[in-house]
This record gives sequence, structure tokens and C-alpha cells, in this order.
Amino acid sequence: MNGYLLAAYAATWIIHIAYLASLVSRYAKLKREIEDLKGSRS
Amino acid sequence: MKKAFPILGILTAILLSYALYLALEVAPTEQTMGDVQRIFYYHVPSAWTAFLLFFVNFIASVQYLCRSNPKTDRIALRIAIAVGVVVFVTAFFVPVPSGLRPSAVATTGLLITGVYLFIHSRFLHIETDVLALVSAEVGVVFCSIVLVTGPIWARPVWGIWWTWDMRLTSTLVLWLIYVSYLVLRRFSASSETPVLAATLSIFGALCVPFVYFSIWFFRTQHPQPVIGGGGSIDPRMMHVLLMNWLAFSCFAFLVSWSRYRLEKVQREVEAAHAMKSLQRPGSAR
Repeated sequence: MNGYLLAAYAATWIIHIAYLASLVSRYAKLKREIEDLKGSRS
Repeated sequence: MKKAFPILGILTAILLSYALYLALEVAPTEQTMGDVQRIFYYHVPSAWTAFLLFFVNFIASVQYLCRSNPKTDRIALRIAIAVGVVVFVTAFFVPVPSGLRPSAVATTGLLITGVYLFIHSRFLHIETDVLALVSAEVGVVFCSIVLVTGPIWARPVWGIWWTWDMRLTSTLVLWLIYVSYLVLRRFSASSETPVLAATLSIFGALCVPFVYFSIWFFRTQHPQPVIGGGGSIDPRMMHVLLMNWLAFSCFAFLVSWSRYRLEKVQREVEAAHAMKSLQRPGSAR
């Protein structure tokens, strides 16, 4: 495969995966906050 | 709808894999550029998806500003319908600029009214602000891909990574406007932030047609458009391009949906924290 083609396709998926990873991390943080809130109420 | 998410996720993954296979194996090799031309199957669909998301951001922002008052809401709704109808009719009865297809203009007219009515009927006033934020964020991701894949294509074809040509520069400015929108949303704690952000996004959206038409108005190095413009393309390449766009659009929809749910829960948690601090003994004076 052409190097430039590989670089462009790899860059596309790296950006998408990095964004998805940031969403997963935000989900995890939010889940912890919800558990803290539930814990403080009980 | 929550049950549909995993099924749609699997279907989108299959579609993305199939689109990648089409782009790498099935699409014919371009005669002058060779395999480098295949970057086009990721670059162009990413640009179209980013434009679509910025368009949704624009409509959601307009609705966030207008729906705070019932009178302005009614006026904005009538204007949106009128603009869509006028653009649609213009496409068939008024000569459009050379290089622009009447069907593309008519589709834009339908899209303006259709998206406006859809958001108006399915989203509450406060939800339009969430939708605007989400569409801008995912749009910036796709616009970043455009700005990264473009120079990677340009280096072997033009011999340079970047040139301050109008299409490239205006795309960079568009990206910077939406990045500043996200920075404003992230770091401003004022209650007026959604209003300021909505206003900024309207300026950003005005930049989108400028980016698209910049290759008509100015002499640029960027290739002519293949859809809606005067360019032509091999039908097999067009099929691969449209399949990739469909795959990226489905992916963008799923990511936006996921981000929308995250943002709504985030706001509920913030409201719960605020409520908790108000209920804390000694906080009320």
C-alpha cells in the first residue's frame, strides 16, 4: 500500500478512536459521579 | 431506542468495513495520481459529514435563540419554511450559476426546511442547546480529519503539504471558529454562555457556504467538486464515494447520539450537585 494512503487512513482512524476513547473516559467519570451522588444520599 | 443502539453499531461497523474494502480494493486506480487518489474516499465524505453537522449546529443554535420567545419562534419557523421553498423553486425556475446543478440547489432547499421542522418537532428548547454542542463537537472531529488527510494527499500530488489557497484557508478558519465555540462552551461558566455560543455558531455556519463556493469565487489549487458542481467522476468511483459517505454519516449519527445522551446525563448530574449543595445545612441564608 502507498505510504501516503496508509498515513491518511491511519490518521483518520486514530482521530476517531481518540475521540471515542475520550467519550468512554467521560462516561466512566460520570458513572463515578452518579455513584458518589447515590452514596451521599443513602 | 436504547435497544437499537448496539444493532445500529454492528451495522455501522459492517458498513465501514465494507466501505473501506471498496475504497482500497474495488475502486479503480486513478491514472495520474495512482493509489494516493484513494485518500479522496475518506477526505471528501469527512468534509460532507462535517458540513452536515455544522448545518445541524446552525439550525439548533437558531432554534435555541428563537424558541425562548413564542413570537420569534413562530417567525423563525415561517422564515425557515419560506427559505426552503424559495431555494427549491429557484432551482427549477431561475438559472443557477454555471457549474452548479439545479438538483443540488433543490436538495439544499428541502434540507433547510426538513432539518428545521425535524428539530423543531423532536427537541425541546433546552435540548436544542445540547444538540448544537454535540453536532459542533463531532463536526470538529470530522473537520480535523479533512485538515489532516488533505495535506497528506497534497504532498505527493502538489509537491507541498499546504498552501494558503482560499479553500484550504477558509476550511482552517471554519475549524478554528468551531474550536473556539467548543472552548467557549468548555471554559465559560456564565449563564449567558449558550446564547453567546449560539451566536458564534451562526457566524461559523455562514463560513460553510463560503468554504464550499470558494473554488467558484477564487482561483484555487483545490480540485473542483464532483457532486453538485461541474466536475465529473467514474461511476464506480462515485459508488465507492457515496458508500463511504453513507458509512461515515451512520458513524457520525451514532457518535452524536452517544455524545447527546452523555451530555444530557452530565447536565442532570450537575443539576443534582447544585441541588445537593443547596440542601446542605448552612448553605441557605
